[in-house]
Amino acid sequence: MKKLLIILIIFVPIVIAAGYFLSPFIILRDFQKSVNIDFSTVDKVTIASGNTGKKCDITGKENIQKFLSVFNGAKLKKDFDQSIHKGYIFSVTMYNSGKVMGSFNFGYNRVNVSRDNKIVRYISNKNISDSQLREISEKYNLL
Amino acid sequence: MRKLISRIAGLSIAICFAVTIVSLTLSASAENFGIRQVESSYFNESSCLTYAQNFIKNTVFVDPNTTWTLNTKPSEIIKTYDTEGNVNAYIINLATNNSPTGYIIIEAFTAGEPNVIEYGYNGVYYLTDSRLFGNVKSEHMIYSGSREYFTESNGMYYTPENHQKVKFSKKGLEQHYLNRIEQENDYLLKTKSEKSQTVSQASKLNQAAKKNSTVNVNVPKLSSFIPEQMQDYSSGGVCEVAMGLNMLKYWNQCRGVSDIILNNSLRATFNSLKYNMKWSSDGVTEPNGFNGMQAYITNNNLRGAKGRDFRNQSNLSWAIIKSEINNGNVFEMGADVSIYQSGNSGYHSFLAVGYSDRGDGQFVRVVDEWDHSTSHYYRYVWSYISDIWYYRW
Repeated sequence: MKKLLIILIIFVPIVIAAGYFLSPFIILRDFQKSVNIDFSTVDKVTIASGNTGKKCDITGKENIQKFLSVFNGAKLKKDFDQSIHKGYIFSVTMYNSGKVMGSFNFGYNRVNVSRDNKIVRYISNKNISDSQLREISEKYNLL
Repeated sequence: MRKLISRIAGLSIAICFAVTIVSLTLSASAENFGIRQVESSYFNESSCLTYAQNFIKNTVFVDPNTTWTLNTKPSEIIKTYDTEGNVNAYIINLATNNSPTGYIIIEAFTAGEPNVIEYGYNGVYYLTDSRLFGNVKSEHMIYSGSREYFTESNGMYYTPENHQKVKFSKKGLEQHYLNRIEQENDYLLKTKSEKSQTVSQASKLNQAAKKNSTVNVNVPKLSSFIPEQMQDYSSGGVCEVAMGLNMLKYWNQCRGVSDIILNNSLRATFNSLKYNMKWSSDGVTEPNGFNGMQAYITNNNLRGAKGRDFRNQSNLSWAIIKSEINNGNVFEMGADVSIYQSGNSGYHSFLAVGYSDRGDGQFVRVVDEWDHSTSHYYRYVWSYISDIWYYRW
């Protein structure tokens, strides 16, 4: 009985702590919550190509929502590999009244969010395919 | 048996409850302690003013373009506050013989000494210009570091420029501010240690600055170098590979090193580098880029390098960057592009080919692989650079 108690006292906090720290890596979270931006408040988006360096500003509520619909239904979980990777496919910076609200880059099932001078790497449940990426490049003149 | 199970369940719940209470208490007290600790280290007004006056004096001696003279004095001092109401920065407008000659913004919360975060030689600080922003300067202005201000009214925060409500709560703003303090102090401590290591170089540089305010150094034969741009080779996240290709091209075509381009084909070289650097659609990691160059040489039985070096952020400095260029080594520089090109976000791999030490900052001359130019400049901010590495032949 005593042994069981000791085991419980040791293991229960460990399990709670492990669950707390591991949950972002295991449980998928809503895209907007992970990026920490309410998309409805965005009044300008800058999309840039990591391949050509070209960028395009998207303004107007309808245009912005159309672009951001690429991420509809996407959920993210943190990648265990948080090492720095150089290179990205597209980067997105969002503004409200000229002020940067946040930024991230994405391609395929990867989303890297810029937060407090660091890049936090996520894996998305939604894969943005080659043809969708090409479509974005063409539509926003990033080729 | 049932009794035992119910006891165990009860005990587990009690432990969970206790752990939660203890962790909440600890985090709350840690936060409070954090605030107290920060506040107690703020510099007072007199220290900051003395610092500003010394800054003016030094600038007069070093910068031939300044409008300041030894008669330049503070004409107006506006205090900014942290969320607890402590004065954390001073906006100091300056005047020379009663006419406005710029401003100095001094942060009082930084480690070791106050920090001049911004200064200008003309007019008054834009936020204090009543023609632009009315009476903003007389409001209770919150400063959250890195030149970001808010005004406060009834517990809500607003941008001072256009009075737009911001989404921060007091707690959120407090955390935002503490993160800024940490970042700025990390950066300042690093540059301070660099400064102390290079005092003699700095004094030489200051002497040079009196004659010519800019010192430019490039690697040899840069004018004959036409870099490749990555979109000609592949799409998506291949900057490190294209940078490696350009490093080899520079040594081959500008420095005459043979037997480093695979089958004398830049495309074959690119493809082999891509394979050896273990490229994925997610880019190339820090060690894989550096190790991949060695694997490319070894696996293709090419000419071995005479020297190589890799440094991550904690081991690099402006002095090292200058020394690599002074030694004629082009090098890879992994850096956050958000301060290079607004609207971009993420790490990019540049090929560094020179540097420029100016009165207004330190810049690395880079090839960004987005075009064929060698004349782009990246402002050196230590905390935005992830790594540097080179191979030399």
